[in-house]
Amino acid sequence: MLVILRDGRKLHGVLRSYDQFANLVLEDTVERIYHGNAFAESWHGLFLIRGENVVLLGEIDLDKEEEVPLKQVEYNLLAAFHKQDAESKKEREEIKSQILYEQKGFCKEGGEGDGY
Amino acid sequence: MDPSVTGIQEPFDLIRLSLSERVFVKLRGDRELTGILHAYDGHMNLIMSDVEETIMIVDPDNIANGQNVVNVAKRKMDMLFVRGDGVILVSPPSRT
Amino acid sequence: MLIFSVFKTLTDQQVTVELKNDLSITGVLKSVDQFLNIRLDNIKVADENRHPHMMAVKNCFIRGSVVRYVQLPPEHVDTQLLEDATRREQKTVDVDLSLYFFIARMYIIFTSRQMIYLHKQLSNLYGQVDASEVGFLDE
Repeated sequence: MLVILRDGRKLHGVLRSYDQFANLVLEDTVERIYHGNAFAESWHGLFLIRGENVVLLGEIDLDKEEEVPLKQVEYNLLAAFHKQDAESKKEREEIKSQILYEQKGFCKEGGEGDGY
Repeated sequence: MDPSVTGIQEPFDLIRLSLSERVFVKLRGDRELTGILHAYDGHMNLIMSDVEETIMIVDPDNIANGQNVVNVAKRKMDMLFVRGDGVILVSPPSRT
Repeated sequence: MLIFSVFKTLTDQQVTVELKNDLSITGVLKSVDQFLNIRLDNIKVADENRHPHMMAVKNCFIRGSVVRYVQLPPEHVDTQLLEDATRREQKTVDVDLSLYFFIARMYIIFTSRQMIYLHKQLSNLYGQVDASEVGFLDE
């Protein structure tokens, strides 16, 4: 199973249990990060995820997974790029909300907004 | 105005009177909609048709040269459900 | 409840769900629940290159709270019916409420009458009964 969280993390693991709030128990969990046409994994283990942080649960289709044109690389190699991506995205969001706030009177949503 | 004349006693009455009319909706995330309102509920979930969405887009690359950095993107959708938690305001059609 | 019913009538139709993180997913609506959580089958993600992690996913569950829009097939939505149902739903809430208050009032009137009656009966049996002693009708 693929689980996307509100902070943008992508977790892969075996779904062991869930409930009405979408609280999840995920076993053998790895976090995947992406950059360009590469991805990397880091091992986490057993997770209980509170439902409100869940965006989406995806069932991985094994046949389709083989067609995915991405190559796996070392986590350490990709982590820096991924961090850079996230930071530049955050920076752009901040600039954007600042400009809209000044010019158009839109409110700033701050770090806990919908920009996950 | 006397509430008994306009038939408006609570905020939702204003939306009720806008059913099947074109309304303006302001949303979180720098978005605005206009469309014909067909349904709503207590969460301000809406169902609208013939919707035009306006998204404010800021191009940070143009900030340096100080020109108009806010662009708008528009798109149309035939039938749309809008989740209530994103709604900031619903405005009835202007009666001119 | 109304919107939930609308989605139930749209099961097995193709819809496009747009999430608050700008991810747009088109798929066949398989089921929906009271929180408007959505299950989509045979999904296709718009702008797949920007969301490479979705490439291997065929079916998915979307938490209702992260949905921004759902684009519906217009030919399967009866707008007149929706408007009537919306007006009716608002009215049923009003009727339900006034019925509730009516019953509550009747109950209060009824029970206080019974108490006065009881008080009188007790007075007849035992002579003057101090109301405060019995524990009701303090006024």
